[in-house]
Amino acid sequence: MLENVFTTIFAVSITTGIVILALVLLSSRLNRSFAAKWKYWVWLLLAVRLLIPFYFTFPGAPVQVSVPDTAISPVFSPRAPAIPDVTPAASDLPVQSAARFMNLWELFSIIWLAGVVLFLVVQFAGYRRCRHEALRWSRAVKDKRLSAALDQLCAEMDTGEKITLLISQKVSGPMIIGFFKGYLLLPHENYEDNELVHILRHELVHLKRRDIWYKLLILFTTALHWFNPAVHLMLREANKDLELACDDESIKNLPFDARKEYSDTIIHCMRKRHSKRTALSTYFYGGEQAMRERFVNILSHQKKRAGKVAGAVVLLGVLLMGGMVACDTLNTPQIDLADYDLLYEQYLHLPFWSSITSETWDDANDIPPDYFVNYYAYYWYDNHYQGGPLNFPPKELESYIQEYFDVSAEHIRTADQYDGEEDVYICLGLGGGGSAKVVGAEQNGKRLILDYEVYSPEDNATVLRIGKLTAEMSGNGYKYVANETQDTEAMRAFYVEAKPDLNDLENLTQRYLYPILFSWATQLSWTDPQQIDADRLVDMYGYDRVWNANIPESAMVFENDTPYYYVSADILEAHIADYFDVSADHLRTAGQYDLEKNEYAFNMSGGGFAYDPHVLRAEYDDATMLLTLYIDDGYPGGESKEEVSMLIIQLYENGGFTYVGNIYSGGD
Amino acid sequence: MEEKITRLYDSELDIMLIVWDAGQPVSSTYILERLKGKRRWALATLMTVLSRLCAKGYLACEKQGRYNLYHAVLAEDKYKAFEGKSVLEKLYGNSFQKLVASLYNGKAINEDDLSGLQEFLDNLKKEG
Repeated sequence: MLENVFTTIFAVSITTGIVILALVLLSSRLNRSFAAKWKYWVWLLLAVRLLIPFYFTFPGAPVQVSVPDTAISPVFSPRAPAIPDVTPAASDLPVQSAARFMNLWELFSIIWLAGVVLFLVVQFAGYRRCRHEALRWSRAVKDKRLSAALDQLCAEMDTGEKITLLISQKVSGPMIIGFFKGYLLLPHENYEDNELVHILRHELVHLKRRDIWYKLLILFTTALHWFNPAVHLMLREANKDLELACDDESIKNLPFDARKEYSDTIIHCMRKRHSKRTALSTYFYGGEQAMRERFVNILSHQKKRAGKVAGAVVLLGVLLMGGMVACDTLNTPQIDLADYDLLYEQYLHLPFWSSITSETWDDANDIPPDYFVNYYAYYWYDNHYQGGPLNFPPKELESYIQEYFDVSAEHIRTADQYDGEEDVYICLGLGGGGSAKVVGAEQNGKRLILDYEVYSPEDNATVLRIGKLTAEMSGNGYKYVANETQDTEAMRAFYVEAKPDLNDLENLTQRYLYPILFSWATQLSWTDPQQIDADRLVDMYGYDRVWNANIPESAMVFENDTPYYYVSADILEAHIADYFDVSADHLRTAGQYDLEKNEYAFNMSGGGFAYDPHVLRAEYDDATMLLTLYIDDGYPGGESKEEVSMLIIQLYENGGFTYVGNIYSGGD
Repeated sequence: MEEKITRLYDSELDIMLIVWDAGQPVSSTYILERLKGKRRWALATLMTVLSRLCAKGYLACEKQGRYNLYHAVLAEDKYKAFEGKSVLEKLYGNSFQKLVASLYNGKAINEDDLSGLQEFLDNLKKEG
């Protein structure tokens, strides 16, 4: 977060800094033909621009500034070769380790922030102290002439604001201080009448134009950009132009003699002050030159163009320039497109392991939410893991994900791993197989496009999937914006090979027979699962997940001393749908279904099962597998195997299957 | 006034500044009047502060007819030297200048340059 603010500020600082330098270089030339006023506004505009941490540039900006790119890639710690399954306890939140990864930009941004704070503290502490000192040593004016002159000028100039006139020995010259309650401070009150008018008018012009606020804004801008000399230059120039503009306004329409008098007043005030001061005072360099410019401006007050049109033209130019100077590094970071290993580490590793590259998408909200949780879990595992469960506070996980994906927190929270009650993400384990490599990389403006291959976990060489992952660079970060992937021929073959070994009857029995066994559906003939009694299908879930699952008594509901266990309709129906293409409506005709609760009830005192067929042989044709089933004829030592039925199973490429029919030939 | 000088409160300094500026013994009414542009005090408040200043020995009170007249015992220069200019103030002078609207920058120019500047200004006149 801080880093992003800083990199944006930095980019804005560099581009605007160039505009400032150009303007300062042209300054003396521009001063000849235009009133100082327009530059006063240009500085204000630039200051406002510097304060907005939003970086824009025209595409293909002609001026490119290269900033040395200082290894801004996050440092990944070497990964553990094997990733264990971690079983967490929900209440046991891990202590987030302090081993956060640090990069140079992060360090710079901390230094920057410290600098800003220091700058502001010094400036405002100094201001408050001096203000207090000046007011402490002040007294009301004695000479009624002064207050009368002030009142008259206030009315004349329509300043509106009320200002208190005080005499303070502690000020070096006439000045206005105070943001909300204004004070006009004079070092003494022995002024000639004409001097007094010049001085007061000058100060009231400051007041009317709210120059103190202007100065505050410029100073605040300098605080944010303290590292940029150009901005300090702007501070100096802006204060100078502010004085020139104030002079212009003060002597507007005055004849030459009056303007000379005005200049003499300024120099007289300075001289008078000096006679009282000790030699210890320090003076800043270039002060005399600035004063000379000021006097030239006052006396050579020929009709300068107010510069409304010219000002507008220059403003436009300034804006255009700001947009045309692109900051190279921040815009398009230098990425070594040849170092595939580094590219993998930085850009592909996490998306690959978290399965985010397993789908084609161009909107991160289309990615299954579980993958994001995995993404963070792998990141955290790689960088911070020190044992303990992988539980994550939602804010932390979501804000990390949102650094890399434009995805809503709501979407991530639909993940199975999100526990809404505890408000925590619980990652039950990490695992996975295969490997991936970057095989090509190109950069298209801000976009980095990586070609990658995914290899079989068996040999880590056979390409199962290929894809293109696109990330978009911004500041020093990046976001994944799209992924395209497709299976290779080898992957399709891999699926086919994944078909069961027809000779391994034990495996076939366990994998394909046991799930359906408990539905009793192998003991009748059917070609559409809707023909199977719903009660039996529901019982299949009972055998699989309820009766053998050691469910504690506390989870049961007793009705007339009979214990029942209730299962939500969604869960049960989804489970059955994994095996049968059967509608929920059909399942709900089952006796176990409780319409009021929308749950299925299992009688926990029931159970028991005796029918025990085995697979005699298996064969398949394309994606359909036929299992011939038998039961022992019951005679001890007998070898007769009674064929009882043919079970028809539809196989899918991903390894899944459904039961599509059964032909029963056994006895009743 | 050989006693140790202590730092004056803001309210006390306000009164001392008026007494010093007057250059002669003044009445409490005079002080109250002169304070008006900065503070609006009731006479009772003023009398409290005045008596405190007298007790500290910074002011002396003399009865003249119906009035009490006050004059400074503590000299202005002496007190100024005591308060002096803190290091901080020197350090902070520049930041102050950045947030006030002044006729000129108090630190703009030194004595030598000032004469040069006057000359420059006068020449401008001739050319103008």
